[in-house]
Amino acid sequence: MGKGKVRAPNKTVIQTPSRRGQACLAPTARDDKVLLGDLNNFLFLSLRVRRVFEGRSNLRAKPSRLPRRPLKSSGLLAMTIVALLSCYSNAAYADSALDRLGEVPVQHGGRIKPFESFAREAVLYVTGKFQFQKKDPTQLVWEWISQPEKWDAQPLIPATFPALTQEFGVKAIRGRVSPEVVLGDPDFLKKTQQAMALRADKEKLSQLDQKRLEVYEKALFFRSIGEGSAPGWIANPDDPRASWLTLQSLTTGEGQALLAGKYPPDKVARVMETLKPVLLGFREHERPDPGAVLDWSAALNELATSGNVLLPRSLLQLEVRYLRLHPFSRAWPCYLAAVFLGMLAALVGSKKSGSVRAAKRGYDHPVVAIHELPLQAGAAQRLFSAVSLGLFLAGFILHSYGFYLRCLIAGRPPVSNMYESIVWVSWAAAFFALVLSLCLRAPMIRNFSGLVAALALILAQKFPALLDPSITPLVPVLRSNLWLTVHVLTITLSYGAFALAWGLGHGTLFRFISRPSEETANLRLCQYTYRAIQIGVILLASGTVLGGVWANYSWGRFWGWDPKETWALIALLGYILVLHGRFAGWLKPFGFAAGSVLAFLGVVMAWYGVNFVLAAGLHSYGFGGGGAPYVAAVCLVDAVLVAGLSFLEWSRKTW
Amino acid sequence: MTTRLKSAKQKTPPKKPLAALFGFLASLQLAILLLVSMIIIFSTGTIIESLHGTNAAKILVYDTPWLEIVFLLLAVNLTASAFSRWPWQVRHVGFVVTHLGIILVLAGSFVTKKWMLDAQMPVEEGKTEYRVIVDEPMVYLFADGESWPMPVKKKAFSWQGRETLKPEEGKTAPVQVQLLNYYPKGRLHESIESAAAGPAAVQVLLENSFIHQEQWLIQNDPELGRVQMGPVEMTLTDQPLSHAGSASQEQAYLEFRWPDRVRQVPVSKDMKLPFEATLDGTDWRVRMDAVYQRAMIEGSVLAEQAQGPDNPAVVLRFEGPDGVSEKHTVFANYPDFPTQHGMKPSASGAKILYRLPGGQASKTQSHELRFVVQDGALKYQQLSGSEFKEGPLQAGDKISTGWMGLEFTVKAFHPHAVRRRFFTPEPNTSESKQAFPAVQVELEKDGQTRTLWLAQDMPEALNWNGQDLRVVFGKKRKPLDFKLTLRDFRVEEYPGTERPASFESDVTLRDDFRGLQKDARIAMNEPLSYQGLRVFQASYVRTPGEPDISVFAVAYDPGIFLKYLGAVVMVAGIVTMFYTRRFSTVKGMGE
Repeated sequence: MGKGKVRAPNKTVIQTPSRRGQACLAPTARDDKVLLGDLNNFLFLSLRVRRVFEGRSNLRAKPSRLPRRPLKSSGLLAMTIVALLSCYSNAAYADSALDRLGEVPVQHGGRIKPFESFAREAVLYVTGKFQFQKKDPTQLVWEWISQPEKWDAQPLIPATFPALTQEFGVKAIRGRVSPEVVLGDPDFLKKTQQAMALRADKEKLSQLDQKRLEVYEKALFFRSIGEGSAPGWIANPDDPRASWLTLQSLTTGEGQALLAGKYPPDKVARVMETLKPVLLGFREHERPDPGAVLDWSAALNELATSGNVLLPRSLLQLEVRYLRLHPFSRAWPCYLAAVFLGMLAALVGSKKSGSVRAAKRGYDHPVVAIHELPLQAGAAQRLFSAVSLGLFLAGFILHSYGFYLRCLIAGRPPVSNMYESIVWVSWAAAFFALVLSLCLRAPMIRNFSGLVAALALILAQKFPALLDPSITPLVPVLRSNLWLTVHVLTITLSYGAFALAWGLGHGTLFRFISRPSEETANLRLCQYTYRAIQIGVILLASGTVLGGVWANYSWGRFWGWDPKETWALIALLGYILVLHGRFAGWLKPFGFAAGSVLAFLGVVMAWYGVNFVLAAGLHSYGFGGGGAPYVAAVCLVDAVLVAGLSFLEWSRKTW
Repeated sequence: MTTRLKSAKQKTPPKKPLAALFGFLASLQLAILLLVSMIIIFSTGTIIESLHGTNAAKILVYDTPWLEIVFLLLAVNLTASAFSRWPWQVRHVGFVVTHLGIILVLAGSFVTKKWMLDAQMPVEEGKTEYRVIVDEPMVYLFADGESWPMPVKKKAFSWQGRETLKPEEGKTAPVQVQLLNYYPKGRLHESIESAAAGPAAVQVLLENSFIHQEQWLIQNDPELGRVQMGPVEMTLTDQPLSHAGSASQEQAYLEFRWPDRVRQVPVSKDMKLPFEATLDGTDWRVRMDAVYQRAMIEGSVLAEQAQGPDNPAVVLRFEGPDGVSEKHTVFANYPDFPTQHGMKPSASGAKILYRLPGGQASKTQSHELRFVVQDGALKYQQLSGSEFKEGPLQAGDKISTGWMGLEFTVKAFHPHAVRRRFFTPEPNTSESKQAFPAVQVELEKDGQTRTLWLAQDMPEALNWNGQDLRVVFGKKRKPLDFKLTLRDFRVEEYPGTERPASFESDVTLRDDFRGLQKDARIAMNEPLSYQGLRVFQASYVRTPGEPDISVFAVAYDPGIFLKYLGAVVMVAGIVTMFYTRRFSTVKGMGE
């Protein structure tokens, strides 16, 4: 795998030819020695860790090298991990009744999706959490449908805004209120009416009013599910753009009359008959009989078929797989594990690298002379490196697969909201790190990018209320796949490269402080940062220009000082400033690393700030609110950190 | 190895001032100064935009001469630093090409800024338009079929002062116009005050546990003469409603509604058809020919269904003076449906409704509250279904209507009133429907003055010593060389929602000068190009009951070629530069 793509180092690598290309994990006669080496290395490691804690880590460290091509074994490992994780996902969903219910197609929010997708969105919207009372979303929403009166009295809706919680008083239980309370409180309703009147006049709403309306709309949405007026279950055979018929319309005369005109009566009757046991199952046993569910889903299917409604099952299945596999939340543990093992490898490597005499052999590809290393250290380092690469690849494959699935489901490149762009940017960071680390033979790049990507993915998973993971339709102006792909992907790829540079920049700064004596290694890390910035600058410059081309094509102007484009330019200027500062010699390598960390704040502003803080301009599709204080705090902490490290470096040089 | 800095320094011997100047203009120091200042300027611009709106940011930052000077300096710096390396060598290629690219982009922007057109063009469906709206505020004065357009200088914030507005092309206007106030966004206030003459006005408070709303009514006013508030229709008039009829609450009835009269005729199931009745106090007679419970059109004939949803209807003949005889079909569930074939209004001026007992279908319920002014005294009349009630009224009286617990109070009553409009400054970013760009002007002629508030695109008419004047504050309109007719406008929504997925317009372009007429479709991301101009689908206005308005953006950008060329050159230069630069190596990094 990838053999052709990896450039062999142009400087001579001192390796015994017989070992070249040999898989690290391949069974060899020296298996026992490898194991012994592991043990040995573990001892070295503990020694090393102790030294770090004792603050005497003045061992001459070398960045870990991959002396041979570990791709084959790492690739195998990656495949194994991915396969295992996929099996795990299938095993986790063994309840076939829920399974089946989750796969039934429904229409909601301008899209046809499996019920499970609707259920997840509904639970997230109403309760603000992925799961409520540890119930599976499909289960929970079906309970809402089958026992609306029971759930109407449950505190489902978060009302955490202090003034609002206070208004609800004792009716708010642990910061949550029930739909019954919300929709039965005349005082609340009166104030909501006033807020709605203000909103209709487009007046500025107070934060309390906004929260009030949110709570009200959540309660209404819950009611609509309970009443069976959302989602749509039965397609309109005459018009694919029309609203689907809901469960509620099955029970009203009007709905039945409508159905009678469009579908054969026996099929309609069958749907109604088979629905009853499902509802009863939820009501009486918390879960229906799988057979009943099967009947119902089959009846719905037959109904659609009888009306010549064609629903591509494969796409629906794909979405179900995406939801259940949830590749992104599996990718980050892989990345983190890769980082851990990569660091282990570096530690083991640096332990023994004192004897390496390769430093003078060139800066680009300094070579570790394997045969000069004690066998044990080399083997352990190789093992750790290979496993680390394998884990990283596994994470990357999962990450890419998730992205690919999302592309297929949405029918467009998924980069239209904050959640999607975070996922994509972290993918880009991982991708560039993979390419750079293999081209430059520098596995440490992966460690930093692994951290960046894992951080981004965790962020995307942990704040569902801010970063909505649901797949939503696009506003009209974005419905141009070519331009969306070319412009937005280029820009976000550049963000990925800059995120990588940000991670590497931090690494450089820490390394300069913690190991000032290892000049070459520090410079090398700094050079990797530079490489990442180069990639980023090229992509951001072309992406911004391409944005201009799209704007010219779609709005009739190349440049209009829209905040998003202005901030993309500012971010670009920030990096150009750092490059010129370095070029002029005003920024030394340390200063360059510090600059590349700080310049990322420009990217954060262009990426997040314009939409969530400035909230102005034409790129308003992804507008949202919230989180600004946290982001600002993180940026501030980062800036203070850089300032602190710079001060340390300055005092080290001065004193 | 020669760095840019060193070479710049080498070429700045302190003795020659010209060389020193060139050295400064070519210096990396200047480049960094410019970069830093651009970062600061642009970020300030975006913050201003966020706080005070796009226009303020344009006026204060982006469209200023000093920003042009910064760009000019940048272009000079880029050129000078490129020539400071003369004679160029192979390693300079990337750097020179990048700088050339940026210079081209800057030149393109300059060309664009000087000669571009960026305008809006709203066209109503079925209408033809040849003018576009550009973002330049103007005050237009119209008198005797002539017009005097007067440009107004844009202001970033609410402004107060005195500025004389001069008509374009050196014309002299019949009155002098002075600008007193300019609000980029101003909130419209209206006060209704007692006066010696003018229409009557009442202020009514309508309330129950859900509604608490105040409303002014002005007699015979097109906007405030009749107001629908929730379920209640309120009218202020000098014509009392004459109510007669024998319908009771428990019975269905036909209602004939004139502006000042209501007549009701009961419809009963066991009535013998055709059934004739005269409407008391009018010259009109009605004859019911058919009464349906579940009406449905079969073929092209209305017929009773055995099954199916309820759809009560009455077919009747309405006969009046001068031999007028009309056939009406009235549906209880569809009161807004035209009752006469061909959508003609009845020659009698009456609206005919079929109402079911007890508001059986909510659509048939109506509550009318009528305030009647006669000889300076006020009385109220309320009509709900067939129930009629009336009584005298005084300011401060609170009266219960009996509908949904609604009570109304007359807060104020002026037998004669005037409406006064004025504006107060509003934040630029306000999106309120009550906020408009507004100016206050003073008109002066022969020592006489009058001040006037003008909201954008809301004309004010006044009579000045017998001369009719019309004043409008709006954006400048420019004619195009061609006309556009909007034949059709369509919005496609995402299935099952009201979220638009795409929208597009079918237009006919007509150029009288070049003798051309062609049909075209304009959609998002699919503009129409004609004679260097491009017409884009920008947005639309959709109001129920009115024709759609499609809003196009019309743009002309002569600098676009330069900008594209520059962008390509620049990116190529960056790539070359990064490929050949010395920081690509660790050794270079260490220097």
